[in-house]
Amino acid sequence: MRTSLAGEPLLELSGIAKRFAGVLALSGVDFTLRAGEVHGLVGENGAGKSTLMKIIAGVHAEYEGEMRLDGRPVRFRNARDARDAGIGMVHQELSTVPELSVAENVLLGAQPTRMGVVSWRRMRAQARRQLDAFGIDVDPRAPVGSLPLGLQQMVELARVLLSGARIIILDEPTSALSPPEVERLFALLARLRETGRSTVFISHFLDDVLRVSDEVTVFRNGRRVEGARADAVDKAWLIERMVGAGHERLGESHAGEMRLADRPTAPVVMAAERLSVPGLFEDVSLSVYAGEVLGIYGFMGSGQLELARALAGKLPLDGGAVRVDGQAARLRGGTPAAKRAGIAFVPESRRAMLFAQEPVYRNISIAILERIGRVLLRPRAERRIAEGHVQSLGIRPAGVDRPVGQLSGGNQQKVALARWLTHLPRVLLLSEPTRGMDVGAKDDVVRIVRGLRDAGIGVVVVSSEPETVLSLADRILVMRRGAIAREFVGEPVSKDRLLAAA
Amino acid sequence: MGKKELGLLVLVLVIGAITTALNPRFLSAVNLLNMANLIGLFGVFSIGQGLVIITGGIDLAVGSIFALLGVVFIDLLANHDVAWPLALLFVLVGGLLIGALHGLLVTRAKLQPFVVTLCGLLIYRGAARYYTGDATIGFGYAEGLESLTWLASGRSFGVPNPFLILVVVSAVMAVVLHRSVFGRYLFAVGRNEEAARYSGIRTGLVVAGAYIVSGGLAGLSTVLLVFYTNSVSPSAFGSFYELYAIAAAVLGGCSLRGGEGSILGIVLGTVLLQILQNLVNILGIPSSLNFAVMGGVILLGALADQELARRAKVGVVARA
Ligand SMILES: Nc1ncnc2c1ncn2[C@@H]1O[C@H](COP(=O)(O)OP(=O)(O)OP(=O)(O)O)[C@@H](O)[C@H]1O
Ligand SMILES: [Mg+2]
Repeated sequence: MRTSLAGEPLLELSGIAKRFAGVLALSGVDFTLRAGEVHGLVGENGAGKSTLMKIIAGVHAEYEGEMRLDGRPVRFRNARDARDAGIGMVHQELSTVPELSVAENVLLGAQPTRMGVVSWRRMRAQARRQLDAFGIDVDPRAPVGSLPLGLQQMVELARVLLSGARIIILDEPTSALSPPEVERLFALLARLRETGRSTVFISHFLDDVLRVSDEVTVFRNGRRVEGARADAVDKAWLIERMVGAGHERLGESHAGEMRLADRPTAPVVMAAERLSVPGLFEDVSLSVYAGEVLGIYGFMGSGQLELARALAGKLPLDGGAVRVDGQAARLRGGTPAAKRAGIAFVPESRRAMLFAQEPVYRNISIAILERIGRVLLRPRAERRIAEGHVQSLGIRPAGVDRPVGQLSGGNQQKVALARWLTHLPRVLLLSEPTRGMDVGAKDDVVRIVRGLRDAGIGVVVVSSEPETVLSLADRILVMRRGAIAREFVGEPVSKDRLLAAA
Repeated sequence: MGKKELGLLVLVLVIGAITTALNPRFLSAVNLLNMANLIGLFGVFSIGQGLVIITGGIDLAVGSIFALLGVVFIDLLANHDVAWPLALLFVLVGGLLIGALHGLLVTRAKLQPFVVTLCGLLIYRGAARYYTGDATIGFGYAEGLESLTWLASGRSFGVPNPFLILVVVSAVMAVVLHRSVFGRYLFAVGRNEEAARYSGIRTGLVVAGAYIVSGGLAGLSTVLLVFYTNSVSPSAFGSFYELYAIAAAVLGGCSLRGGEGSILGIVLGTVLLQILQNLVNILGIPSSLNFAVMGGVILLGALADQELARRAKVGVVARA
């Protein structure tokens, strides 16, 4: 894959600094992107990767330093300027418009018109072609918000990759994709590279980064640490530079086999019987024991995310019953009803879960306000509780008064988790809990989840990343096409076995 | 006090100063007391409107609620010899029930607030006109109303009672909105309804709560307004008042997208609107231009606000 030598510098940034309300997010960053290269960008949560890319894509117009495109200085005032200059970006948090149809999203800002009027027929046809080129099979008329996150991400990728942009920035594009989808993306990247386009690829999956990139650059604390040719370095090299000297934390490798715990003898906290939602999953029964972590693994679209949403009351069940501690849980009332029954849920999408403009402490306390003070608020207690969680989860920056929307992606995920740690639910459903997290943060999540398990609640981890399930679960269910295909309990398991069962 | 409220306060003072410079009568006791009275009358229901707007909704029906409850209230007192505490209770409960109905239609039937309350606007106005056969209705020879009249339109310590009532209502509502769990829920629902539901908040109850409060305050306002005019002509009574309320809330920093606003802001918005009205009267501007002046100032306010927001955009969450 790395045969063609990258060409001339296409985009050069020098001395870039960016402050948010006085706080440095980037300083003295130099960055060069060459024509026809795939450039991997890695760094811990909050290292400044997304911020730098948003500067390139015109989202952040205020910054210090210089940017040159084709050798000429440029300064984008907004995303449109950048797009007109041939720069397209897929954001970490999806920026599709949920209410608009797939076709509208794919062609956002480039709708075909006939005499000034949007031509819906041509728009659908063109969107269809772009989606087909990418192997996505969805109805162009469906509202994007109604699709599972993975498909939404594919739609967004289709929009940017096929927009004709010369420079394509992908900020964690694979976090919601299934392995086959990731393969398709990589194949497309290779094709784009052949045609001389340049890509920036940000990911916490270091193996992926090393595989697709020509060049890699490591960021730490808002600075560029080092860059190298991807074939000259390995994963350990990257991690060393990401976390800095002194505290090297290598994520556990799950390439080898590990042995799962035997079936617990503790009481069942949640029992689900014969659950069905037409078209998504059929006749699923499962039990969650007190003090265990149950992992549910499956490829994207196998129904495991939907199962979690149904258990959380988010998706109406067509049939079946759910019991918590032997009591029937009435899930008709939606997520609030599920919460009252003792089931708490952290969805895979942060945007759906957090109040971006509200400070961190309010995002944490919102679910327990009635416990802190029945009628009146007690802001000091709220803040104290939040500070405790921010400390113990290692949320950075450590203040609780910053709007949560200003935190980096991985830290937002921790805030979402912190919401349920004060008054423990009986069952905690985590959907893709480590999505977008760096190695260290993933370890933090493992630690938190083990702590919860030891506190005696039932934890369900639903994911389409084998590593996530393997690092967290005591017992694993594998779903395939809307049904439970296999249970792993008290036996050796490995990534290969999981993939084989899915 | 937030930046928005401070800006509004400055605006109020500046416009007040200019008006005084042009006509010193602006600061005369008579004029100030008259304004205080009107601020009280309009402030109470604007606060209810503000709450609804914070949830991302809108209440277009308040003006017509005044007409309907107003005719029934006077009819009870003047023609049915109902004791005033009972009539008062009837109107308050009536307001709450209408609010509850709107809340139900919005949260249960999932109709849009604009549609629900627009229908309310038409239905209640029509019902009020039908009730009296389109005739103006007054108190006639109704007796024993001295204490209620005093409560609703008298003065205490030289200050008009409606103004004092507004002070009490805003104090209570400020606690509800800014210091209570329910208030935090109102903002949460307005900011991100889905996230609110994920947090376990029963969003339907919260939204309905806002409409109920708005209805209740509309009931209270009905009584104050009836004693201000002393009679109700059902085709005109309270018409356009919902727009005053929306204007006051928006001037006061409520965003029609929901999730933003404060009680102080809404009250200051009401004050500003009344000063503008007063300015039109006292400067001899043709009163036909009344609405135009109001509209112009709101537009300017909205533009200034946009500009400020743009400049203060230190760390806006990129559409992400
Ligand atoms: N809009 C904003 N306002 C204020 N601070 C911000 C804003 N966006 C980012 N930051 C801060 O800038 C720093 C860098 O954030 P950035 O999102 O670039 O990290 P990242 O490397 O993309 O991390 P992740 O892997 O978690 O996505 C963080 O400390 C973050 O809190
Ligand atoms: Mg990022």
